[in-house]
Amino acid sequence: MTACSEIERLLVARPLGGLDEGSAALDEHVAACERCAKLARDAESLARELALPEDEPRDGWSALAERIESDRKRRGVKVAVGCAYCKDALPREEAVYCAACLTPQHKDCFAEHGRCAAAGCGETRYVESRVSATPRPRRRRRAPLALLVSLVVGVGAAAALVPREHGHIKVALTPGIAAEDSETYVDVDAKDAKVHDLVTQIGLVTEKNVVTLKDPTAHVTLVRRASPLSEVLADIAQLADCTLQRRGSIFCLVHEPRLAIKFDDTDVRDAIRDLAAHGEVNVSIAPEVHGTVTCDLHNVHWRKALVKIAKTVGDFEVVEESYDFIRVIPRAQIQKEQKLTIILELKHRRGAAAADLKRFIDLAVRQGGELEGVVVDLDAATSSLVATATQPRLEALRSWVARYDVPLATKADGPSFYGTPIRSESSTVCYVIDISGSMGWDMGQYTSPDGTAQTGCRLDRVKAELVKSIVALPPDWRFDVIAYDCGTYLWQKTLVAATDVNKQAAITWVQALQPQGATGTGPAVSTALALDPELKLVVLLTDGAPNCGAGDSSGDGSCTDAHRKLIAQANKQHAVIDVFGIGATGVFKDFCLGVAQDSGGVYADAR
Amino acid sequence: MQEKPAPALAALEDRELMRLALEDPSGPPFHALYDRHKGLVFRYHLRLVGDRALAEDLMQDTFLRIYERLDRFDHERPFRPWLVQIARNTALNALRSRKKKERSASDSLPERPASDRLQAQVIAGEARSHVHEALASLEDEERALLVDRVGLGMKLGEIAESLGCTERTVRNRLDAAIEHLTRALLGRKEETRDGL
Repeated sequence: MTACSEIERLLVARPLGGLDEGSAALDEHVAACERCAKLARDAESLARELALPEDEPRDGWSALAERIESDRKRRGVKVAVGCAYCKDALPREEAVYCAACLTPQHKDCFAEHGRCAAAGCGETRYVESRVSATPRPRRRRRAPLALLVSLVVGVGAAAALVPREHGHIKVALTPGIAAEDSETYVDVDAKDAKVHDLVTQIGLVTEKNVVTLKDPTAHVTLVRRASPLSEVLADIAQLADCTLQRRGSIFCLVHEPRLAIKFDDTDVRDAIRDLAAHGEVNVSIAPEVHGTVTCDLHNVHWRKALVKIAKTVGDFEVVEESYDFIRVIPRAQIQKEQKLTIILELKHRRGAAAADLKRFIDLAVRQGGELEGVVVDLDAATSSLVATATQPRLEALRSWVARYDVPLATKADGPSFYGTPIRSESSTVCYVIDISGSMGWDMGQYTSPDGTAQTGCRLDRVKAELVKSIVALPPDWRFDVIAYDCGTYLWQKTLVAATDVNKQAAITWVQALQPQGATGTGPAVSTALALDPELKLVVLLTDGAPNCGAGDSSGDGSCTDAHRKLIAQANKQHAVIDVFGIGATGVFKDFCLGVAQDSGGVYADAR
Repeated sequence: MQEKPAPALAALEDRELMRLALEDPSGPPFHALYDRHKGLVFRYHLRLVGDRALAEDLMQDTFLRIYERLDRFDHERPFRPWLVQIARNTALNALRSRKKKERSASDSLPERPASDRLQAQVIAGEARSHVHEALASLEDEERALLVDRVGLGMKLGEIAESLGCTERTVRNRLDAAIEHLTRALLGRKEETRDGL
């Protein structure tokens, strides 16, 4: 008869449409094998669960029709802009904007009129976006009366204002550079331009919110090509003696007048509060900031004065948390609080192994401790961790990664288990092997210690790995082996030297193990930890959630938590517990990862 | 906008209705398409998200998307894979969004006392069979693929058309999902035996 392991997948595939060929052999096997018959029934149940239900929806057409109608109206709305001079339609690519009031007009209308057509303006300069550079055919005027009125008003306005003969502003999006999420690139050419006008034009072209506050009066001359918007605004702020603030999505250029400040033997905390009050910001002062200050400052910004005063009493910095909230704190604290992003390229873990490590770290982050607050993402393509956190947390993460990013599949010089090197600071190890009933399932191929290909159940495969590991133990190591189901079975009652004689005895004992019973992981590992206070490494292999000997024996989360707690409490010597899980998923995998993490051990999938 | 589709439209093929709907996007042809496929789309969503109210919302979202993409439909290709593609993407987006909310909610909630948690798990354990657990262990995309194949009875070629990949890729993904389910089913049964 066909072996179960050969047809398990086919039994599941058959009702799920994943089997093309005939299935007489399957039926024959199922008729004679109760286990596979049960699997086949489960697969049929799965197919029923995947079939569409019989339910019918409500009609719903009216609601959908309303949404469609609403969508259509929304798409249909168009904002039309007219020229202030000729009143004709004004496509964006044909528009220029008054440099003073930003009234849109046709370029040739502006040229013909010689100034802005808006009533009361009369500005002689205009700005244009990059897309308006293309010349257009001239149109016939449709509103000669409007032209006449505009001319009269425009001339009157021009007479009242002094036009700047040499100033100009040109702002355009830099062609060929796609706007990124956070940055826009612009070309700016401004000569003797009023800051307010320049900033307004930049906002218009870039479609960003850019404003000036407290009326900067300066005129600036600036030429920038393909520059990030934020850098251009910072330059303008510097030229105009302003500060650039980011208030949400709004860039603010704030003109803050210079002051004369005099403090005479004043408590530094009071001085800082006074300056903050002048700047209309909230302030928080660290308790370390104390002392008195005497100063006589002229022609300074309140903010710069505040920084200087804070430094006179110690190594303190002023941190702007937001535009209206500042903190005065020690410099060392800034370094601690500052969040950085680093990329840690994994050297040995790829694919699922890298994902396992990421999950391991996530678990540690959730549980607080030294990785609390670390945000980690895995770039699967490059097997790199992208981590953001404060410097101390990142250092902790680095040491975690260094500890766990070890070769998994390559054979190391020292002892290993399933290809993972095992390390013990006291050269002691206890293997704790699950021999529950499920270890007798899941037939598969493996390589025996003598290098021949064999077929066997999970326990057979584990035995082969265990024998290889025992054989590789250096002679100066001490070791023991514990097998467990619901009970715990010790090979030796204490750790013994890894001599050839002892190794052979252990291997003989291991080879005789048979699968049976339930899974009492917690008591078994606790027994191992109690063997010797110097035991510093436990190698745990298990294939199922613990369901015996601790907790409510349900095998669910509460039960695995009880086993994990039992192990953590027994680990008084802070031994490392490396965990190898067969078929680990869900609660079971969380348990394995948790036990490894509690002890600083590694977790690896086994088969 | 509110009129019922004319009886004659019911005889037209989907692609012909799509052609007519292009000329009159919210008129009877589109209404006829909606009437013809709303049940299928609703049941498909209900199977994937398991929530009747959400499934009805997703059904509407799906048809709204179809309306928005009327001009993108290739009239040389069959309609059903295109419909399933839109319905699937709508459902998967909703599931991703729901998971994200659940994750952020669970992150911010304090841990419940053990007794409550135990009780909840016992109740959940009684309600869910291992078959459900096996299905729940699949990725959403894998489950959607199996619903396409088993629930909708789509051929591999149709699924490939709707996923924009080759039949071989569909076959590989299907195999991976079945492998995953097999392991999940066996793993669950083994644990049960352990407890004996």
